[in-house]
Amino acid sequence: MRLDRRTLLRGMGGIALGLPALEAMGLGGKAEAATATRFVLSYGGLSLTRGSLNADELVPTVVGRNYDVRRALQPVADLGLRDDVSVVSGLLLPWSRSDTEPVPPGGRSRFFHFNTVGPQTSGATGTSGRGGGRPRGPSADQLVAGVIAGNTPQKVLAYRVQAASGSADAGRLSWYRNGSGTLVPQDPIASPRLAYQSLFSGFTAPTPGGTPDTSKLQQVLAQRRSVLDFVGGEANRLMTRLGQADRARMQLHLTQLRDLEQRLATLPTLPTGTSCKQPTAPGTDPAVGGEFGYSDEETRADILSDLIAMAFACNLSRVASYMITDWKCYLNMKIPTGFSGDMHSLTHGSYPLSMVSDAVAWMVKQWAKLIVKLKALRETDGGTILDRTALVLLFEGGWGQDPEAGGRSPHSTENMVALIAGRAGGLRSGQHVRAAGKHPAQVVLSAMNAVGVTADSLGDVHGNIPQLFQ
Amino acid sequence: MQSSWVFRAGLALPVALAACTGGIGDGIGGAGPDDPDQPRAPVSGPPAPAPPPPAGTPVSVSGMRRLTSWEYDNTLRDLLRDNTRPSRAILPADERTPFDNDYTSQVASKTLIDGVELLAGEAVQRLLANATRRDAVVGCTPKSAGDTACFQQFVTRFGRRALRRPLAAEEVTRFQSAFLPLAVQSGDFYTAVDVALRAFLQHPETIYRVEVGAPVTGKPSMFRLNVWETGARLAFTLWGSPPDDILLDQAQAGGLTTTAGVRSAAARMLKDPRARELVARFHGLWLSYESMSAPTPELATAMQQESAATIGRIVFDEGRPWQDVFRLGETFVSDLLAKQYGLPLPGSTTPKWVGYGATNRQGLLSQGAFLSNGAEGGDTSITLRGKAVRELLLCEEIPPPPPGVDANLPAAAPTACKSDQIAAHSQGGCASCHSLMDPVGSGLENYDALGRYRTREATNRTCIIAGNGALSGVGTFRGPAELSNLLLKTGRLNACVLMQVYRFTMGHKTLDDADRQLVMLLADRIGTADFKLDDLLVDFVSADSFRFRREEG
Repeated sequence: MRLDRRTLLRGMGGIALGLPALEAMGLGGKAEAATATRFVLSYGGLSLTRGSLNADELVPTVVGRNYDVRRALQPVADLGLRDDVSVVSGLLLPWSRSDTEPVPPGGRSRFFHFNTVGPQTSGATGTSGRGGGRPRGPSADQLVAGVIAGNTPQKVLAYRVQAASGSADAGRLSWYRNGSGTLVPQDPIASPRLAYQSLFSGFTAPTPGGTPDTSKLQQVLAQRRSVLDFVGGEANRLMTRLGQADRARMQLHLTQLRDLEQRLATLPTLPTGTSCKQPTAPGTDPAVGGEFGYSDEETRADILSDLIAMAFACNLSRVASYMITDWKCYLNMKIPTGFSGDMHSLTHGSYPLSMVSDAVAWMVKQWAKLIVKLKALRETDGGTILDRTALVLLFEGGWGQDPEAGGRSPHSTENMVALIAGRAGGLRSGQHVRAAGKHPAQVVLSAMNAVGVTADSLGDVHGNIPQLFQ
Repeated sequence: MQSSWVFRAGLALPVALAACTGGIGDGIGGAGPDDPDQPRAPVSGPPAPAPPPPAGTPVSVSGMRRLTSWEYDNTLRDLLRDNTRPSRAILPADERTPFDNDYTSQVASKTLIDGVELLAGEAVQRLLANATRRDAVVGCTPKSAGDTACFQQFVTRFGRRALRRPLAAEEVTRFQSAFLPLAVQSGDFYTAVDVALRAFLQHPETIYRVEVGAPVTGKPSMFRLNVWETGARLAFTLWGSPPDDILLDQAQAGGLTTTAGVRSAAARMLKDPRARELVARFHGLWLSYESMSAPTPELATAMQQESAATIGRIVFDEGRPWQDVFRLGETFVSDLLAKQYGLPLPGSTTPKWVGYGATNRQGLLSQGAFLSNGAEGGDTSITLRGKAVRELLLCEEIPPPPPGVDANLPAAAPTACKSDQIAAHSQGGCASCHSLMDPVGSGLENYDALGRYRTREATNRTCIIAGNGALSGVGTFRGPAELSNLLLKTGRLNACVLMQVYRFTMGHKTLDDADRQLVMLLADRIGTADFKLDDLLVDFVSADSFRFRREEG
């Protein structure tokens, strides 16, 4: 696929030419369309079943429209979203059967936990062996942002609902190539307070019928920029004394410092006459590690989804990486669903499938709450933001053959399911599509295509799922 | 299974550390001449080449380490007297190795930058709202909004604490030029203090532990830390916090250039409560209970405090061998925890020392914090408990099932006992690994994941828990007390904790040849005998190796 220079630069996110360009090849799309599209990539840890069971309660029995809603999908019905959400079932993420066999394209090694996220979100073939939880290519959200973010101040909003991540990589979803070609994570924000500060601090809420006094605000902003400028200068000076490896670390730090400084210097005016409305500051975050280790993730999801929706409405961002939980999910489910233990042990036990389904439903619910908000926000032409958005929810595994431990287990990437919502680019939502043997990244690619990315592959995975547009 | 060199090293040379008073020696201790390096201005051009360490001194690789959220909170506490500890869940999560400070996995991200900016701004706001704290931090009373002398004094004094080194004159001038005009403009001296403090708290040399050092003659990529870097390394190793003024003064006076000087500084630092907190945190991360959860946060906190108190009493209050942490016959409980463990109630809502009596409990492994390992579905997993003991306390790695092994057990009857289900692991391809884990977990089954004693299984009350355990090749046991004694008997516990202390201290999990050489030297010196953890730490930080670094790559 040929790319013009503009598309190339967009794919690069405006940074120096290098390895990142290679992964943007094949990606093209709308530049600064008058009607912007939005993209959300979400993820919930663990699988859809428990033990060696060959079943789930997420996939409808009816194929096509008017599908039946089963226990794990119940929030979709409860929130009135059945016509907005499509279920894609029968997906397969291939694997290598031994530690020496090459990993198939877009596949993973036989080891489960560290290795099923990257191929789904990036399409990039995983490493052989146990792996380390890092993808081998940039994630779709970053690639999409390179095409549709335009001049929005936040190219990608990376948030995570689960407050206390078990481990850094397990709690990361969004990865991009920096200017020197290194794949680096965009750490998710888990604090609603920080998410708000990062997105909305510095703005003045429009005052109907009057001109707000912004002098105090401008002074605060000027001071913040002044501090950042000073610290950046110090980082620059320090860099000259550092060895090569530390210099690279400091360069990355400096780049991010400059990014914040730039964001504060170029705060756009919040649009008027739209659904855009500066949210109220969320105040103190819910405590981390409360009863049973629960950190009130429900409230966190409420606020974070509010912020994503309003960032879209206010044109502060068009792309979100919205992680519900870590992979290998150790979120304790006692308060969310009543199960006395974490999601990980739940799927390994011999508990009733309904308990696992309730945990899956809890993740679906957090994702669905965002859809409700996007559906309620209007564009200037009267349509909803959801009409021009594509959202995908991926899971860590499905059920079936487990090549790591042998036999059947939740550590399987057979019978995987992805949910997709929104109507951007002609997505026909509200259907159950059986896509036997298709790769989950093909659902992601479908969403990418829907928002205007004209690529025909994501990483090593080729082709979207045409039924989603029919 | 025990493929680690550490075990060999640990068993090879059982020499008690207690006998080792003049440094570790053998090429890593104080055998070399005193360091001729003199304190020098930190930013005044490239440092002069330094002499190499004594021949054979292993020198570790080190890179720039970002402060963990715990260390950043400590920094706010020590610099600003701010005890709010706001960083957790604002700063990005760190990889657990099980420690949270592996710099090789740290990446600067937007979340870090935005998070530090938020934390710094709010911390300074809190400070300025409290005149007492503010005045203590500023250190002088301004005579006017643009009081140059007071501002310079503040920047010089505070800057030395924040950046862990004296500021060069041109640096003070830079702060003054950038920020003092804002005070003049606003008519308020503290406007400049506000922005300068925010700059300090976001300064790369505050957020990161930067080590450069002087190039060592004839040793490409090897550097000798300057006295400030040595002081900072010492402070973060022993306190998880920046140096205080006393340590900075010692560095300034050249007191950290000799083994004796560092030993003396370290001895003082180990008497500080910060050392106690750091050692407690090390154990919490190592034994995986730092992030434990319980039905109520109060219960989790009580258990963590119980374990911290046990460690603090043995290591710091009574100066006993570290191994006594696993032998102590008393524990630190309030009525809440005493009820939990079936101990006599101390009649107090605040914890007191209570004897374990005849409960067959002893030391750290009998406490709810450690016993939270292997919690699964509101009960315990026998296998995961055994795995935790093997991996955490013996530093073994249990491999995943090999290809082709069917891990699906025959369906058990709903009424089957856990012991029957576990017995199925002893069949076929499962047996080789499960025989290492399951017998260990079985020996702890009488204690649930909240540390309560039980005789019957949680999910099937008709199943009597046998509670018989075994550590293959070592012996059999029943309960955490006997397991503790067996672990101590293996001698491997010494080697394992030593390696974990090293990883925690140096901030990287993966060890290269020099790291392994260093750990082996320490392990050989300690052997299988009891040792005092504070002595070990003093020996480690005063070794020549501690004052050098190698560049990555």
